[in-house]
Amino acid sequence: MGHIEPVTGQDTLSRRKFIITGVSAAGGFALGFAFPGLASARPLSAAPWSNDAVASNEINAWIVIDPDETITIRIPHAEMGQGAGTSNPMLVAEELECDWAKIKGEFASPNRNVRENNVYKDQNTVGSRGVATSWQYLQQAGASARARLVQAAANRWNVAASECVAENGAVLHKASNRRFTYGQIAADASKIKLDKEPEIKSPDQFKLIGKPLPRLDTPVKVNGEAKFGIDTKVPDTVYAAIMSCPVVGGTLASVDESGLAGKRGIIKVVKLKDAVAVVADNTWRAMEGVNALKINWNYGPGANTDSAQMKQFYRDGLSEPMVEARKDGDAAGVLAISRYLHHGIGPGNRFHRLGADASAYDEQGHGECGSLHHCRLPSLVDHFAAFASASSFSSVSSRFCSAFISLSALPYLAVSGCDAMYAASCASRCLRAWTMPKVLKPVSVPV
Amino acid sequence: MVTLKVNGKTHALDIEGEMPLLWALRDEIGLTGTKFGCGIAQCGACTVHVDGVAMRSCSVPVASVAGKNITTIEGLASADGKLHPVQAAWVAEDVPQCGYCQSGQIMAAAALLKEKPNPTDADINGITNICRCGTYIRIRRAIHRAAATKA
Repeated sequence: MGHIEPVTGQDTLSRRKFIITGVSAAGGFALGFAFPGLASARPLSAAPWSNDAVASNEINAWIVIDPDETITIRIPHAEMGQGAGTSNPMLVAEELECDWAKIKGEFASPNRNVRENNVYKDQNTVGSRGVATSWQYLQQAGASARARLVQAAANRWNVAASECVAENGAVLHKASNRRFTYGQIAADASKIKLDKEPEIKSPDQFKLIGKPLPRLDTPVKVNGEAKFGIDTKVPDTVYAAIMSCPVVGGTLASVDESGLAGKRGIIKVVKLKDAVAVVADNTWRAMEGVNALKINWNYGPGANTDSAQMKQFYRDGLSEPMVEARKDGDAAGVLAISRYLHHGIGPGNRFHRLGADASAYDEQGHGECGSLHHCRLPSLVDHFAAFASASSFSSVSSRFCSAFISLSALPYLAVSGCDAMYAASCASRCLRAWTMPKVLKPVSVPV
Repeated sequence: MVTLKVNGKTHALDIEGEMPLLWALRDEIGLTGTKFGCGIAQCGACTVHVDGVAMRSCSVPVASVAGKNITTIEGLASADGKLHPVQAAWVAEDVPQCGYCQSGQIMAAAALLKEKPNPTDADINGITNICRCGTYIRIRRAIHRAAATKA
């Protein structure tokens, strides 16, 4: 990547130059970004995640190199705005010694991760861990692929790998002035087994990491193409809106359904221990339905809990013995006046597809479903799969669609081809998972 | 039966007249670029244009916009695919983070520029769409950039 020029002080973010290069065949926009000395990688597509099939030119689970030199890099984490969709491919590309303009990012398949013993590691996207916990193995994936490409070229030339170098998407044997592009030797490299994994770069060797590059998810976020969890649509989808007991620990006493009389599209009212849901053929009809119910709750032991008590509980916690890690500023003063509220704008939502064809649907790669926010917490899929199994469903395809968690918004979920009771039950669990994390049994996170 | 003209295309829909435009767009027509945020016309994630005016589609009954020209984020670019100056400015400034509110932000900004081709910062503050990622600084820059491009 010798053509990458250092970014000077003048070439700051605001001075980026961009050009539109054309319109894609699909009618979408193909955007080209002109960054000083560095052409952008391709924008992310609206596809939710990669095809699970292993291609012959797949160097490892992370990298596929096509004969036309397009390099597909699998992104393990969901893109929720923090930039994983750009930073994760950068970490791989840094080691691969390739042309950033040839990079195409795609989301790694959680299905494949389950099937192949966590080949994509912990895909959960939480706690600002998208780079912090994955940089090492992403760099390693790139370094490993580079070493195998070099070995593959060396084998073809019958020279030692140490005599060859990887540069800008090609392996060179300078002594004999020979060159293979990555595309030419990708299939060979996919069969190479290394005796020993290569070392990864240290920060002083970085060429790409640290450069302010345009985000690859921007183009699909300015034209409505980006598919969020809530945008998932498949044939025969039904929608459930749920009202949970406003007090944790309370239960449902009774429901008067007379308000639903004459309303269109209502499929079922589902009563649960501590919630009630209305399943309908349209989101609005489901919400209107649940709002039309007259619900009586037994608030239970938490009935008298109020904000003042909760605040006191937290303050008491701060009074317990603590270790002083840092002491600067006026922490106590700030805490006294802070009004911090953190939640996203989008409503909590989930999508489930159940039944005999669910696994076949997985194989198709979720063509119609949520993309940038395709599966925020894949490890929880196991939890719901177990639940589905107990409910006599043969398989389950489930995604946490709540990239944006809004506790104030009415949670709803879309369910395709399954029992309404299950839909409502999942909705209830989903809501409680967000509002009361401790209610959910801990789910083992693969390491 | 309600007839909606969305992005130049006519849709005859067998739905209730009081169904909010948002849900007709998303669940009946299948245009999911317009987002559901609060459902009470506060956050602006559902902003679309009705006869060129920005409206919160979550709170507009379809009966009230029947036959009017509705434009969603999917129809903002010109027919040949050329991005609207606001969309192009959004790309240039790399505005979105999570992106959920951005369809609404872009539609609100496009409507503002139609009304005020050279908006002041105060004019821009008149847009009340919420962005929980806090991209407001770049939104402001992008609107000024779009205004400069148009001029």
